[in-house]
Amino acid sequence: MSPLADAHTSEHDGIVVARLGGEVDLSNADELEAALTGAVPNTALGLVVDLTGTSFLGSSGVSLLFDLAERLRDRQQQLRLAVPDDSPLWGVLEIVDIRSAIPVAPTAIDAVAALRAAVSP
Amino acid sequence: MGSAAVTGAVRELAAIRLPAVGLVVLAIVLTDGSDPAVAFWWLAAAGAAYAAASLWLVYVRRLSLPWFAWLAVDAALLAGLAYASGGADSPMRPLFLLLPIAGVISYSPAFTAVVGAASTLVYLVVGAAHSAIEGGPGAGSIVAFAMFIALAAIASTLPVSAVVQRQRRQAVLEERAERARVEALAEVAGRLQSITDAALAGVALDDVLQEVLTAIGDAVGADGATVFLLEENGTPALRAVATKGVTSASVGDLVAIGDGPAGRVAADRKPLIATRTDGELRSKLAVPLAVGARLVGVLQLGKRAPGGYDEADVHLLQLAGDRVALGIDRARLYERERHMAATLQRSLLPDRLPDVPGTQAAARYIPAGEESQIGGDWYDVIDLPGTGIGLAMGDVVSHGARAAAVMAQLRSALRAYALDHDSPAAVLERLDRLLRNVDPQEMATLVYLVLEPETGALRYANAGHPPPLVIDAAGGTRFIEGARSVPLGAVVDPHYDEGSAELPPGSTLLLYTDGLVERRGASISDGLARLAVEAAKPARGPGALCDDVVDALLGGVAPEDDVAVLTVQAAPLAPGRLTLELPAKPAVLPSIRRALRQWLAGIGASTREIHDIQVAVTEAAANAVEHAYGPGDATFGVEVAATNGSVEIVVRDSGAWRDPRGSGRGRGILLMRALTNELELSRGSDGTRVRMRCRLGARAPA
Repeated sequence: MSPLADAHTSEHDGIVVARLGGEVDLSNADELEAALTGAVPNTALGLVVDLTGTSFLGSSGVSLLFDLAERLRDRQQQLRLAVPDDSPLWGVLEIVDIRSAIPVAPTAIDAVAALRAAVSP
Repeated sequence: MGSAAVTGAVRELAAIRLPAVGLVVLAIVLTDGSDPAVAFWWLAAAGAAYAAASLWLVYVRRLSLPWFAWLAVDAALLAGLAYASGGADSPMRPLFLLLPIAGVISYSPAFTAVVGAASTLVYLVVGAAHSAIEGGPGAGSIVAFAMFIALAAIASTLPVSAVVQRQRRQAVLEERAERARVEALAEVAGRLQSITDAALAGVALDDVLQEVLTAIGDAVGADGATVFLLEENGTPALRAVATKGVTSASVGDLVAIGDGPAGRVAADRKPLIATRTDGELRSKLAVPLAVGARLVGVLQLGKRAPGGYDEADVHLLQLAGDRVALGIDRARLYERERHMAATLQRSLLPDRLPDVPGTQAAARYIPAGEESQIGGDWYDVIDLPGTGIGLAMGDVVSHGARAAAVMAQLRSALRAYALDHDSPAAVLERLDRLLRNVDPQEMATLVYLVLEPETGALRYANAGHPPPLVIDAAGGTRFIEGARSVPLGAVVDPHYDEGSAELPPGSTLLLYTDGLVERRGASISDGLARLAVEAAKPARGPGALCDDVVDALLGGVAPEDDVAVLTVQAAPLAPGRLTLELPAKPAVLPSIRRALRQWLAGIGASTREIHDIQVAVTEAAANAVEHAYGPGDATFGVEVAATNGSVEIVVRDSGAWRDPRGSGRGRGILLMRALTNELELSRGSDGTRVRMRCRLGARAPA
C-alpha cells in the first residue's frame, strides 16, 4: 500500500465505515477503490467513506467516489460520505456537485445514522 | 676483586696453613732431643695422611662403581682384616679390630668422635699398662703421638675441602651469571613481543627496533648495535633502519650484499665475528635475521675492545635474532594488511559526488586514530535518472580488510538495486539477503534515502543506523527517527519499513556513522544531542557544515572508530519562479503538490488558494503522465511564476493529447477550468501545453 494514503475500515451493525487518510490522486486511486470495494461484503447495508482525514482529492478521487456509488447501487447498497464543513475538499466536491450523486453528512456518526434511517423499513 | 673476596681468600689460606704449621711445631717440640729416626717416622706418618686423605677424598670416594662392587670391596677388606688380626703369634692383634668396627657403626660425626675418643682411651690404658710390664714408650709418648696423628688428620683433609668449597663457589657464581643472561634474553623476547604489539598499535617499526636494540645490547654486551633490513623492492641491499650507540652505519644507509660484516652475513646467511685493527669498533658480531629460509635482515653488534665476542655470544645473539626476525616479519605483514585495507576502503569511497541540479553535497571520511581500526564505513551518492538521487550511509560492523571487502560488495550491490527499485525498503531487503549470502557472520547498518531534488521529498528506510538529521534554513534541527529496523544480516528475513520526510528548500540533510556521536564514557544520546546543537548553528554550505560538525564532535582528536559524514543541501528556491522537470510517473504527483505548497506559501498564498492550485496542477500533471508513452524515462515540466498578484502555471509534455475517455476523466478539465481564472490548452505535434492563471487575494469564480 502506498504511504500516500491509507484506508481503515470497521463495521457497525451492517454498515461499513472506511476512514480515508492522506492524499488521493492518480497514483493511488485504483488501489484505494479496490480496497474499499473489497471491504464491503454483500450482506452489508452500505458504506460510509469518512473523508475527515483526507487532505487532497483530485479528479481521480472524485471518480473513485462516483464509481463506488454506482457499483454499490448495483448491489442494492448505499454510499454516504462524511465531510466536515471546513474541509479543504469542498472546493472540488462543490465543482463536481457531489451531493447530486452521493449524500454527504458532516461526520461519520451522522452519515451512519442517516444511512440506517434510509434503509430501515 | 672486592675486599670481601680478599678477606675470604686470606682466611681460607690461613685456616689451611694453621694445622699444618701446628703439626710441624708439635713434631719439632715433641721429638726434640730424641732419636731423629722417631722425628722422620712421625713426619712420614703425617705426609702419608696428607696424601691418603687427598687421594681418598678427591678420587677414590668419587669412583663411580656399582653398589655390589662397593659391597665386594668392603667384604674383602673386612675379611682381610679379620685374617690379619686373627693370627696367633700376637695377643695384641684383635685390638686392631676396634677401629674398623667403629667405622662400620658410626653414622654421625658426634658418634664417630665419641667412639674415636673411647678407643683412644682404651689403647692408651692398654699401651701404658703394657709398657709398665714389658718396657717401652710411656703414656706421655703415646698421648703425644695420638695428638700428632689427630692434627695430621685435620691438616690433611683441610686443603681438599678448601678446594671443593672454592669449586662450589665458582659454580654458584657461574650459575648466577647464566641466570642473568637468560633473564636478559627473556627481556629481549619481551621487547620483541612489543614489536608486534606496536605494529598492531600503529607505532612505526623503526621506533620499536630502537628499543629492541637497547635490550639486546644490554643482554649480549655492546657499545653499538644496528638493525639492517633487506630492501623490500627487490634491490639486493641492506638498509640500516635502527641504530644504537656507536655504529659505523647511520639510519637510512645502504649496504650492498657481500660488503662489510653485515653484507657478508647477508650473503652467507651465517653469523660472523669480525675483528679490526683500526676504527672505533674493534670487534663486531653480526647474525642473519631470517624466517625459515627467507632473509629479512642482519643484526649487528660492535664493541670498542678487540676480541670482544666469543661463540657463546654468537649463540645468544642468534637466539635473539631469530625472534627479532619473526617479530619484524609479523609487523610487516600486519602493516601490509593495514595498508591494503586502507587503500581498498579509500578506493571504494566516491572521489567526487555527482552533480545533481538543485542540490549541493559534501562528504568527509576520517580514519580511526589507530589504523588497525580501519572499518567498513561508507557513503554513496547515486544519480537515479528520473527519480532523484540515492543517498546511502553505512557501517559494516567488523574491522580490517574483511570489513572493507564486505563493504565493497554492499556498495556495488546497493548501486545496482537502487537503479532497479524505487523503494528504499525493497533495496534494504535485497541487501540483507545479499549480505547473509556473502558473509553470514557479518552485520551492517545502513540508512538509504531517495531524494527528489525538485520537490524535497525524501523516502527512506533505515537498517539500524543512527538517525539522519535535517537542518532547516533557519537552523532548526530534527532527526528522522522513523522507519528504523534491524541491521542488515542481523536476523533472518527482516522487514524494512519505509518512511517519508521532507527536505525543504535551503535545508540540509546530514548523514553520519556512529563514530561521530559515540565516545567512550558518554551515551549515544549525549552524542546525538551534541550533534544537533552543533548543526543548529547558522546556515553554512554543506562542506563547511561537515568540517564544523567533525571538528566540534571529535575535538580535533583522531577518532577511536572511523567516521563518515555526508551532507546534502537542497538549493534555496529561486525567487519568483518554480521550475520542475519530472519523470512522467504517477508517483511524482504528491511531490509536485509539496513543492507547490512551499512555493505558494512563500509568496503569501492562502491555504484555500494553495489547495485549489494544487488540484488544478495535479489534474494538468495527471494528464501529462497519462499521455506519456513508451519507455519510462519520458519527462514533463511544470513552471510556476508569480506576476502582478497572479500565479501563472505552465505544464507541458512531449506526448500527444488524448481526449478524455469516460465521464470520470473529463472531470480533470472541469476542475482545472473551475479552479483557475484562465485556462489555455495548446496541442502541437511536439506535445501538449497547459497554461493556467490564478489570481491571488480573490476567490476564483466557481
